Amino acid sequence: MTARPRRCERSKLVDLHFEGRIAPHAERQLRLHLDRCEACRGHYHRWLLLAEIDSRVPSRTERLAIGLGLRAPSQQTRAPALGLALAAAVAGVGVVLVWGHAPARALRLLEPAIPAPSSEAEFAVYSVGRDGAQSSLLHAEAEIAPNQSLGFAYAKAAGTRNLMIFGVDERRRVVWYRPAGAESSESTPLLPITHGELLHELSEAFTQTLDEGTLRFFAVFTNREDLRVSEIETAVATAPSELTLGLPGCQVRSVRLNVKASLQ
Amino acid sequence: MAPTSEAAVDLVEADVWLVGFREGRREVMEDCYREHFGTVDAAVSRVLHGADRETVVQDVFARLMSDSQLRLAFKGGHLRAWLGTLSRNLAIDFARHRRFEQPDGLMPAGDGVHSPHVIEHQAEVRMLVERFRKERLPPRWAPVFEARFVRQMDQVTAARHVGISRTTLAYQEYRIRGLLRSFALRGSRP
Repeated sequence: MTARPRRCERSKLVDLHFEGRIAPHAERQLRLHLDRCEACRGHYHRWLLLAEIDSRVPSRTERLAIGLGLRAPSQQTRAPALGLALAAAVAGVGVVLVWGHAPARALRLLEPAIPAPSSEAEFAVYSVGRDGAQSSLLHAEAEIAPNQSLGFAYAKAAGTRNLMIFGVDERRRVVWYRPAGAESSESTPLLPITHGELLHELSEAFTQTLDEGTLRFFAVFTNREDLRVSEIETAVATAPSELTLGLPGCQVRSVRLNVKASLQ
Repeated sequence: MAPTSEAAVDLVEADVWLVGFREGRREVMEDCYREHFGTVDAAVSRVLHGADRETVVQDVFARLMSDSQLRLAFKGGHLRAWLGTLSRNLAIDFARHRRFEQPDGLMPAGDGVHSPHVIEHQAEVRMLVERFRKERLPPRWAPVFEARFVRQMDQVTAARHVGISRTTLAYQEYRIRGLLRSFALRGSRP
């Protein structure tokens, strides 16, 4: 962040978009402009990173709705700065601040009795290097040795309580990682998810002896407390040929890897 | 067999909705956006990410709102599936336009698929957080930054967690936000 990024005079449109203050005609200009301006694409990317940390940046659903004219632009002003300066001056007096721009989330659907897990949750599988070698992200169809140590990470799982991680080989044998194989009884608590949107890596590496062939890793994000190993194994056993798991109240992510004995 | 009265009501409601959709009525378009944003976003995100993803997601709804021929192409049935296919095709067209590498077409239906660029994006976010902590964040504000920005607690919980008043927390949060925005967007001091 030490180098100052190149700026385009139209980058103000990007700022207006992420501040939720852009008019539909300006949004259309922005979209056309983004297609040919690398500086503004870079600025947009930096805003996307910031939006992950700063909850005052309107959500993607809101920003795009404002750009379409489906939702009124935010009336954000500089007034909160003044209010906060005043608050700073009287700190200790007990003034309760009210933001000029409350994060509007009106487009979210009403939550059901058990809140749905995050629809944006993602997960990743890493190969864990030996003897200090660097870990690397495993993309779909990557090849691994049967005894490759693996690490797991998840992100964008705010509002989701629990996670299960397992692999399914070509013979539909389930290899459990979380809950761990030895623990995977009906009473085993699920892996609780650490709050927050940011990337979270599980602190341990996992090594199992895997059979050669295709191995599909699944991450099941859920707010259900009653989800058990047996339900997962039944879903795997009864899934159609493309192995799509029908698990109510769950968001399922998967990645397919290839286990090769020759890599050992 | 004659339909039950309840089924008949459902059919009438579906017809009314379809007429509204084809006419592009604003309230129906708003419902459509609210109900199907996730479907469109998920279909597009399998092909594109970042600004391109958001451009195409918005384009799908912009076309629905402005193009009556497109709306008439929907003959009824499962709007979710129709929108998913439309969104994916538009995303692929956009990717071709930008000469991106073509995605493989073997995505399974139903469950979400592995999306490594999302994880890479999150890794970038984490790097941003770490650099901000190291290079710009005053140590005295670190607890508020952790509570409000990293752990994303609400203000009341965060104030209790850090052990300061909500007023003080709000002030520190405001100052941190200014530093963070400047750091993330401009790489300069505010």
